[in-house]
Amino acid sequence: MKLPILDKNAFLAIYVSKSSVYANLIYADYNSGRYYTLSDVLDLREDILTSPEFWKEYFLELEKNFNWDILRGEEIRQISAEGVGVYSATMFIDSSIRNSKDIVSSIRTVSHDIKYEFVNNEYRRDILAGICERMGYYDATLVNLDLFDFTVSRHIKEKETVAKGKREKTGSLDSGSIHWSDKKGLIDAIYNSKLRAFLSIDSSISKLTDIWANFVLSPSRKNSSKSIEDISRAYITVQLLSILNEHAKKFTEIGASEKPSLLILQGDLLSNLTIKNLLIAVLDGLEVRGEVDILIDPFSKVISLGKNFVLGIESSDFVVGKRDIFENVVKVFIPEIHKKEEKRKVVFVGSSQSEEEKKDIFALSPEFTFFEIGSDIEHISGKFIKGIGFGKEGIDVVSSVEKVKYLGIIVDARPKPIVYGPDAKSNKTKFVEWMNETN
Amino acid sequence: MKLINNVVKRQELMRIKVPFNGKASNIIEKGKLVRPRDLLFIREYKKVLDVYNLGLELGIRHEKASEYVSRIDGEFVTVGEVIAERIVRGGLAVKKVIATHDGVISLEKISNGILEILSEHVKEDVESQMIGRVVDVDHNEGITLEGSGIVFSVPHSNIKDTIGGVWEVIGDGTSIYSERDLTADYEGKIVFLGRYAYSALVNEAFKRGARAVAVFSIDYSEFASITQPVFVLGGFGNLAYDFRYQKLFSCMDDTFVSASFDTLVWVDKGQYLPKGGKEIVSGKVKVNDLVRIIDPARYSQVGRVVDDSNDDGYYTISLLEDERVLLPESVLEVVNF
Repeated sequence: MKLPILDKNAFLAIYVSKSSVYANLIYADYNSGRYYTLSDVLDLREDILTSPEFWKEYFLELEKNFNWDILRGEEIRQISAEGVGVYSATMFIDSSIRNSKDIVSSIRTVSHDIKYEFVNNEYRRDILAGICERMGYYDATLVNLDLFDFTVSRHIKEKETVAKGKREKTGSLDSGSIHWSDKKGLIDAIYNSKLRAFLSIDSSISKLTDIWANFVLSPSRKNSSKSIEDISRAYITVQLLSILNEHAKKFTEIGASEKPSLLILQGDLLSNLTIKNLLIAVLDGLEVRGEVDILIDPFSKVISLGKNFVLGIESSDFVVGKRDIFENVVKVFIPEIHKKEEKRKVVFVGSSQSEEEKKDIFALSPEFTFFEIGSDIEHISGKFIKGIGFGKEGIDVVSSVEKVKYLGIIVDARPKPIVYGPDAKSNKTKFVEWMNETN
Repeated sequence: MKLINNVVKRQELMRIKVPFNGKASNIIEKGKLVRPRDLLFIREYKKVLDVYNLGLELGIRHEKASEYVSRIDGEFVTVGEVIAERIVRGGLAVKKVIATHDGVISLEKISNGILEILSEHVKEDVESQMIGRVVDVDHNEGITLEGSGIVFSVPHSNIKDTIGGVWEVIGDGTSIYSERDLTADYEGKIVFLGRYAYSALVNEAFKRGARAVAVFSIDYSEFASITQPVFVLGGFGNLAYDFRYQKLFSCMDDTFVSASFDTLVWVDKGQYLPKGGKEIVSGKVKVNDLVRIIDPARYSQVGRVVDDSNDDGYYTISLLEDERVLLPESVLEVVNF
């Protein structure tokens, strides 16, 4: 029985990247106001995407994992109740995967009902442009942090170009990437003096190399190893700095324009770092200044659900809302603070007000401070002290389900420019200061 | 969800390359059926009498080794003759490599910094170890047999081409061995040096004629310094060595193996029966699953899931000697042996 899509609806979106398969099944019961998304990720270890046997098993296990009937034989089971059927299923396949068209042939052996879309630069540009339009951002950058593949794709809403004396406004996508084609090269990156300059773990290079080499052979998410976290953090910073330097002007001044900016982080390295370490790695790698929203997207929802979100009510199968994608967002303020400031000096004073309470908040230099937001609606406001370089006089942020529900606010009060080194021990001392941790 | 790692599996209709590794005569015809002990070809080769790693001996980069060789390929040398030399200390001294055997110079591996002294020609009958069919004969390279093989996925190696040889295990493979545990002659062998090895032991095995070497674990810095073919079967560092690996590698002693960058294929003589092999994807990890730990603190340890009831996504794993650990699903790899 097919239910009207205004009653209950479910949509399955699967994104196939070079390293992983991300599945998001989004469900809405419009009568009871019940919405949720089931997510799963499967990390690929070998060239298996063109195997029909793999895809058959994949869908069988996905149904068990989600406790959701998706297929009936070779047909998509139409939604009839919660846990039974979906309105449609779409696979988004990264077009840079070798034999990406053969993947489609393999999946067709499972079902011809599954729709396909290839993810290329045009697709990314359309998604980022659509997000800018719907969410009011001027500048949106998608950063993919896969162990073997780093990609940065940036869209600026209006990029004026002067051509033949006429000013033209064009949508744009600037992109840059680094790809490692073999494990040996990636393992040997640990010997690179640039990467080692960012490490803060004081261990022998021999031991670190063994740990890193094993991680490259068998990557994992949510790895609890401090060594892996530290190497991943340093690796992310170095990779992004390389992309930044190689593509001069494309990725500079993210956040510095005083217009709303968004960074979207995806990839298999995300879950190996704490939020603070992840953000420090990215902010330092892209030399971000000013103010930026950062969306942490471990299940690649922006790619797989982004098209439906951008289409909004014009979407033919499922209307994806803000809350379905903008779940893990952090607001980051990066003022210009110079070395001459005294240490442990207050640089920001403000307050955080929710329905239950009001509390004073402040940030000290040289700390990287995270103010967690616990309630559904919270208003954070405050000012930087005189002399601190920040475009606006103060900050005024409302976190709410209706607009954007932030996980928290970060004030990066570290003196700029950020200087690492000369060795791991010095970096460790710096991180203790920045994170305000005890040894 | 996870991909299941079928560490070892049995595969029917496997293509197994048997290289000549020298000249060959009496080559079996394409299409012939073969059984164990059937003659495949007669191999004529020169035995490796000694191996010199000029990179180590002269303290040079292995790519530059050919610049220091004072002989030509195929030249006959006698004991005591200089085969390579390097002027050091600003011309005040000369480092020399002296021949320790009478034999013929081979510069086949000089790009890896290796100079060999070979014997006169030796003949050897190469026999089949399996039931199969000859599906290809390349008169320059070797023959290809089709039959049942036991396949192991190799985590890492520095191999560029396919190598074939007889698998030989040092001792029972469970210890860290030294040079005195090696035998005199590994001609034609792919030698498994045990649970952990270091570069000096690896180089010594090559000096004794090994075609390639396999280790369960080795420090990466040592591995990176070796220019001859090495397979790393577990990972890097000094890793725990599970009995399941030990049983597999020991069972293969004296078995022909065809080895490429990421795969070892042993001829199936019925010596090992893998338990799994067909499944590809696993849902959530569950009780009784066999798992391999990929967390750095316990990398490569293998155990069985005994409890999956923890709400935080942690699982209790039973390891050897009743040791139990609690680990998140993200660092567990479902495996089949």
